[in-house]
Amino acid sequence: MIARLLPGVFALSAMLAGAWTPAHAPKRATARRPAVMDTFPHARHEKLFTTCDACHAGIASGDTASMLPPPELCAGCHNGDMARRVDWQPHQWRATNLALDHTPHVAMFVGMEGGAETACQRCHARADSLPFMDVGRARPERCLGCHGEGAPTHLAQQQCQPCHVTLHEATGLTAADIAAFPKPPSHDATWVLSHKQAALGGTCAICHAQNFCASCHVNAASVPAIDSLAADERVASLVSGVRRTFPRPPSHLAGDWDRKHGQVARAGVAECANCHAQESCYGCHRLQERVPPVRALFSRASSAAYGVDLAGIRPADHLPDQLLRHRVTAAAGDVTCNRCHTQRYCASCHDAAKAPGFHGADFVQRHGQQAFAREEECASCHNTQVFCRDCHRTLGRADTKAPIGKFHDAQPGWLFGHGGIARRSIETCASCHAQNFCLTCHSATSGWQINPHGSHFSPSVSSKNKAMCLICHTTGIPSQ
Amino acid sequence: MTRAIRCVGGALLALAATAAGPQALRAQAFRLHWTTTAEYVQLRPIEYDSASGAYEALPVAYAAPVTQDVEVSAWGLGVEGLRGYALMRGRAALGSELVWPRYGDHFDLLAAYLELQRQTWRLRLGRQQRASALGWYAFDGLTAGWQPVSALRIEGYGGRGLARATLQPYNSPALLALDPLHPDQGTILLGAALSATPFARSSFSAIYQREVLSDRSGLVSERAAVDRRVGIGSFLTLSGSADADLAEQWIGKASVSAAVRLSRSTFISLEAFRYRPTLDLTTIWGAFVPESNNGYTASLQLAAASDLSFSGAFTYRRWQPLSAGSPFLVDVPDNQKEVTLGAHARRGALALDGSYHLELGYGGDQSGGDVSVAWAPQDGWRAGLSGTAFKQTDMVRVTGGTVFGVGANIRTPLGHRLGLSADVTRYFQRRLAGTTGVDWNQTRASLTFDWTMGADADRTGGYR
Repeated sequence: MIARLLPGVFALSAMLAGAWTPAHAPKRATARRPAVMDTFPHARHEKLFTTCDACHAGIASGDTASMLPPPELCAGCHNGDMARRVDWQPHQWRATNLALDHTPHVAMFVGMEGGAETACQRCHARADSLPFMDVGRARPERCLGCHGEGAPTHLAQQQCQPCHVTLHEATGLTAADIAAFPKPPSHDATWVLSHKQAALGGTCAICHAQNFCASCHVNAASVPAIDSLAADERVASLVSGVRRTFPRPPSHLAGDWDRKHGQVARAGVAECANCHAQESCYGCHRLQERVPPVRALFSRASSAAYGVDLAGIRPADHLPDQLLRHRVTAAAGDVTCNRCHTQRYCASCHDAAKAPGFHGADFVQRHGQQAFAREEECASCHNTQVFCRDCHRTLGRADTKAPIGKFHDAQPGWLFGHGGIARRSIETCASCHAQNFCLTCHSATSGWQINPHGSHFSPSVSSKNKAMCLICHTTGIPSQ
Repeated sequence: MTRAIRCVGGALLALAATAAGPQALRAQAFRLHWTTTAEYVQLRPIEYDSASGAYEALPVAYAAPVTQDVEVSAWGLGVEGLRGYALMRGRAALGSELVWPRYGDHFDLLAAYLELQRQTWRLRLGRQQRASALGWYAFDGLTAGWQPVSALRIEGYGGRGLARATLQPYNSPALLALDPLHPDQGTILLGAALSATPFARSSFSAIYQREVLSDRSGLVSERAAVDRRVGIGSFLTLSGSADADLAEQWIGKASVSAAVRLSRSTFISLEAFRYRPTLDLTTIWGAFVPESNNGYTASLQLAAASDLSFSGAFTYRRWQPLSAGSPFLVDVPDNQKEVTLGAHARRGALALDGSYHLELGYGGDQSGGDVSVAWAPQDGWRAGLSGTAFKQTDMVRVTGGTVFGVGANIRTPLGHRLGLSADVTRYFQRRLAGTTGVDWNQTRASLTFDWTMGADADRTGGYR
């Protein structure tokens, strides 16, 4: 009975499971599956084939040639007379990373309760209670009864061996096959930060090669767990040119991390080097500083991971209005700002004329308000007598030949009331008017001779620069 | 310009002489940064019509300024720590009817110096720019710095002074032509500065600077400033600054501020400030005793989520009462209020920004907002659309209106060393009813090409 059943059992199991072990294959050779889906209607042939080995005799023996039925066997009935013609040919085998060897499994199942009649169904039945020949592709979950070690699902297992071989050994897989590997539930969003302990085992090698780890780890060459993995060209093609995004470890989320990270780095950069290259630090530290922890890191190489890119990280004390209010910080520029900025960065705003990004796109129209109210110190970057007046004259806003006060049309009494405005916004006056214009009225020796000095004027200033006083007081500076 | 060319020539000759010296040249390297910016700006000049007694708008004209910046740094010149540095700017106006400010001045040597850096001291000789609490000054001369420890630097500097924000000698023909009362002498600039970071997140600096006419006949300016910043823990930063005009014997700008960091991206800051301009004693305005304004600013940035943040600020400024002394002015307030609000959201590569600002009070009223949406992945590419609108009523001059604008921008990092960016905006103005303002319908566009070649001697990322 057993002898009669076994060939059919083995043949059927091979066809349904798509797995086989070639007669002379190396011990770690990978199993294969049909390259196309198994569409054979086994249940409809239940009465015709009472054993699996009628078609799949080679499964138990490992005989490749007889693992699938010969086309002539089908044509015996499907010849167009008894049944419709079927032009079936044995499948091409698709490569997998399965390490399953049917021979010992079959031998083991045959020796168990139920014997050869249930040997194939133990893996290939869709459910335990279904009848013979209601079979399909073996599902990994059915392997868990023996191999699961308590794991609830196939992918939740801690160990992938012995059912799967390493990626290096699964030579038949293509890069696309590897890219389509399912992701275990353990590999969630926090996995990147916690995978170190798991990586000490050999399970990673089932799905990963050295190239995969090296696409994140800048220091891949110095990590034993990574170094122990084999390199793989297929994986290399998958990760080539991929720029990884690195999550921030919990320690880096602390508010004072920017300040304290140096202390951590000085204690050792072994951990830092996983994600950071030397160049990661040059976003803030200068090469010339020769900071020992930075120099202890690996330098970025085209063949290795790019590492964390910290270019342009904004220091924590650069508040949103830093651009307008950086004076205090900048005052100690040589020992603070210069760590990150070069002169060109400062000049992009302070050298005027070419700083539209600083002011905003429509600043030309809006700047009058800010200039009058002195919201910013225009004269720090713009010489009002050169830059401002140049444009104002071009646009007809200065030297317009209009009657005095006409431009200031919102103030009918401008001529008599402009003094207060001038004291508040004297730089703005100078952006249109030359000194001679003011001297028309304010000279001490000609015109209306109106005294422009305010109540807080100190005559002692005349001792600082007599030439300035002589512009108005052409005949001599009055005594104090 | 001739003098500038001579300066460049001198610097290059010095570099060449050093490079050709008898010492073996080791590890010569240079770094060149090249930035070309072309802009297209439509403007609408106005003209006073004596017949109608009003200002009339002239047809739209345009300016097309092109700016060329070249920054060169060269080292490995045979002497350890020796470096040559130059930052040059060329300007031209392409086929425009209007000349953009300063575009008649085709060349500026922003900086050009030789630097000798050793372990604890540094010398710089040539044209230098000095950004400090006193503002932005440039001079042709020498800076000597001593840095006994990394947290302390003491410097002295001096040389021929350049007119503020022009890079022209004080007595240059260009400046003399602008104002016949401008001094016909040059100036000498002298200064000393101390910078220190006594402990983490703190800094202190003090600077004194004196500028005199080259014949010692008078003072141009004499100023000093002190700045202090202290970080208390990781959540509080206190800052204070003040500068004094020693020549006029008054305090110029001053501020005290506190910034509290509630979380990594959530801040509150408060600042009280005072502003009084500094005017050289070479103009009559130095004797006009400008008035100061005082005020405060409260600002907040709130990170609602990692990709969503809001910001807001309120500023109040106040001047001495004007109305009592000037009965001829109409509705000129003595204070100004300013409110700004902003929001930033990001989802994947899509970034959305919006802002609103409102100013009321002295100088005029202005309100407006900007909004932009951009596709901006992490690799530096950016393509976006923007919109803007603002309305303003000026208090003391001819203008006013409501303006809407729509624009587009793109930035393409063509590699580690190349970058190309462009933007264009079209503005549409609606004149306010009853105002005499000018039409302001116009188009603005810019194109920037950025190229770096040579060695990566310095930082490879960050704000350079």
